[in-house]
Amino acid sequence: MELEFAPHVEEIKRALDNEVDESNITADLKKLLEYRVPLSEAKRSLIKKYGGGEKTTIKKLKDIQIGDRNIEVTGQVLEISKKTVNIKNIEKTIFSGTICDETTARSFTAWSDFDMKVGDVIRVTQAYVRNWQERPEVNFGNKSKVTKLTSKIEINQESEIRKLAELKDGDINVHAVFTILNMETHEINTKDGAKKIMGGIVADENTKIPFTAWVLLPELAAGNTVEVKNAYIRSFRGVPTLNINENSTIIKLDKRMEYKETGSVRIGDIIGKDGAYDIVIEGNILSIRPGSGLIARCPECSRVIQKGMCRAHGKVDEKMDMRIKAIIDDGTGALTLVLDAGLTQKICGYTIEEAQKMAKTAMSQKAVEDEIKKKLIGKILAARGNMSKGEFGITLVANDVWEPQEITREKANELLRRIAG
Amino acid sequence: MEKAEKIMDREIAWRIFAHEFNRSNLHVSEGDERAPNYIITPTGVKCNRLFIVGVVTEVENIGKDNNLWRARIADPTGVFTVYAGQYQPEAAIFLAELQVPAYVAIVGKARKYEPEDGSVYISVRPEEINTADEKQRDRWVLDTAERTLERIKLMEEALNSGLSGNELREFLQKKGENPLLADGTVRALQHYKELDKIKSELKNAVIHAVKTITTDSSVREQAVGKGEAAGTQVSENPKSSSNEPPKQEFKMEEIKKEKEEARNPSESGITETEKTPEPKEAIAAIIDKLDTGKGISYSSVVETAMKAGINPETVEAGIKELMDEGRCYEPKIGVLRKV
Repeated sequence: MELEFAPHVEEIKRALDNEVDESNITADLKKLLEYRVPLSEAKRSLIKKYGGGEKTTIKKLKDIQIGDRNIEVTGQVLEISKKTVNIKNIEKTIFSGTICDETTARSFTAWSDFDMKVGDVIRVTQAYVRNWQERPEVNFGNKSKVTKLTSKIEINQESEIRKLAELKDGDINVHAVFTILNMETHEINTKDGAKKIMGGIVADENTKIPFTAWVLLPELAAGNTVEVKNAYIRSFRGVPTLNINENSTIIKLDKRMEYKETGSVRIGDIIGKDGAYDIVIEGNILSIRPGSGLIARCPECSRVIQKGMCRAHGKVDEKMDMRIKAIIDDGTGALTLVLDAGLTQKICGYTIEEAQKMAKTAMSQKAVEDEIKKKLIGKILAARGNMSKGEFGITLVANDVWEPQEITREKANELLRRIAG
Repeated sequence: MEKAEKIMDREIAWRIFAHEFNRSNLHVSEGDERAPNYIITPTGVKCNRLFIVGVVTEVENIGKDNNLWRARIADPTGVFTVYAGQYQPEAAIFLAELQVPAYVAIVGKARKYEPEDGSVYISVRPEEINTADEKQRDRWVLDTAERTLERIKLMEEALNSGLSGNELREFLQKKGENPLLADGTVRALQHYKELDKIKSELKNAVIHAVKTITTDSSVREQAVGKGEAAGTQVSENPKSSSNEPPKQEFKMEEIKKEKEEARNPSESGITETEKTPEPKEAIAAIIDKLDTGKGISYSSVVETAMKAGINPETVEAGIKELMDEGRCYEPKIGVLRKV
């Protein structure tokens, strides 16, 4: 009988790093089997009881998926910053940043201080993956172990020049040529105190994207056309952002690359991307979503509130605001267009105060939403803004909106010539 | 993440001319009863939602309890049938109060009705409906023409690839086509016979539609005024004569086109298919004879026409054409009435 147990006990012991006394395991296993518990369930529950995990899976960062548990990853810390969060009224210090291996870059959150620094190559066991802004994020929890390695992450330095339009969240070793349109320095809080970084907009011939430089370099000046190697892409507020750090090389070029605005883009061409910066779309308004029109916000946190009650701040003096969330569709694709109070006024013609009067006369806040529907459903609008994907679907938050110029007949003649030719 | 995308991604509203929409007779539904239903159009649109800007030419209350409204919405190529009932109260009220003719914009879902005699009726159930203007209509015609021509081109590429089934689906998706369009194209190729004929007819309808929006609206107004007594308008709006149903425009254009073709024989092949009215006229005569004012059953028209030697498919197509032209209509499903 004893012999029968041995291999299973051995297996459990191995899973627990040989830290538990063999006789205890044997006794527990016997007991569970006397209760007619299936062997596999008995083993699983014992490993759990003694604090061991299920089998660790080694994963490359590009393969991680939301919901993964107990994985092992190896990578280099690209960024790390310290944050204080409030969990159930207890202040807790966490560390978040970006880690990359030779496959991709991903964001991470460490729930305790593992003494990691930018540039460290680490192996993390018992990590898990959570959903952060619809993207997988590696989490280092209480059970995680972080080991610093002396080895390096091998990244093939030679890579082809890529168009900015192709770049996606997680891309590493990015090689690109672009002109810096504008930039400024910011101060941020890192693990080792305040640090100056640079941010701004870069563009190649037809695409603009935001960038962040974690190092201050003289080549990075507005108007310069530069070639950058070994940069990486992280999504910031849903928009792919180019990151330049200590490992990146930058050469200032003598030629100058000019950005040319291409006019509106087809919605169908951009909804396949993670996000897009400063684009123009044109389409028909097909639906006004609930929550459009007059809305009340909490003066503290700007959350949309009902009947003066904020989820976080209780009874507050509500602040009135106006917005439109609409479906815009050009026949190639559809997305949600968001207009703030100013743009709502621009397109509908009334101020928040006038909208409030309208609601008062009709004795219903919904009156404004109905007015907006009557005004906009079916209409063609053009809008400029950033496209992003998140839990509310594909969204373009507009910073301008207008009724496009009427050139239907010219276009129709052009189309007829095209068919004939 | 994929699951979230499926819930959140809004299905596209396709731009399809009535000509193509009404010729769709393939229908698919996937999964359980709550899954969306699609029609597959001849150019391969797997269509659930569509967007139309057109002219309402007729609104009729056909429900027993005043709660089902049927509207005919014309574009330059044909007529969409729209039904709004108790579950579309806003659209039903909108249609009930509408003065025809009027430009409207409609977002709706494609519906099909298959009575037992084997025919398929495609209609639109509105989600949103609003008044529109001529500019919006013209822009819709332009957009719909561009999208339709793109699809015809894709259809040709699909045919030229020599692929079919899953291989074709993969080929199209790799090209970056919308997955619904890729799937629809595969299914349309399997289902529709005489695709070449359908394609050339549709192309002609598209060209015709685009031509209608290149002419100045004031010219159109005059033409309509001459063609039809303008005094039939019952409206206080002096400008409303430009709102004439495009039925008249279509005829005017047709005449113009025929004249042009007479001068330019090299083009005459294009519209040949539009000029074969024989069985249609025979059917019109049958309906005319049988209908004593109360309407006659669809099946008896089919029966009589078949006895007269017209094959059932032609009868069906002929009746559809007559309805599209506004020469007969269906007061109830399965019943025909002359106008």
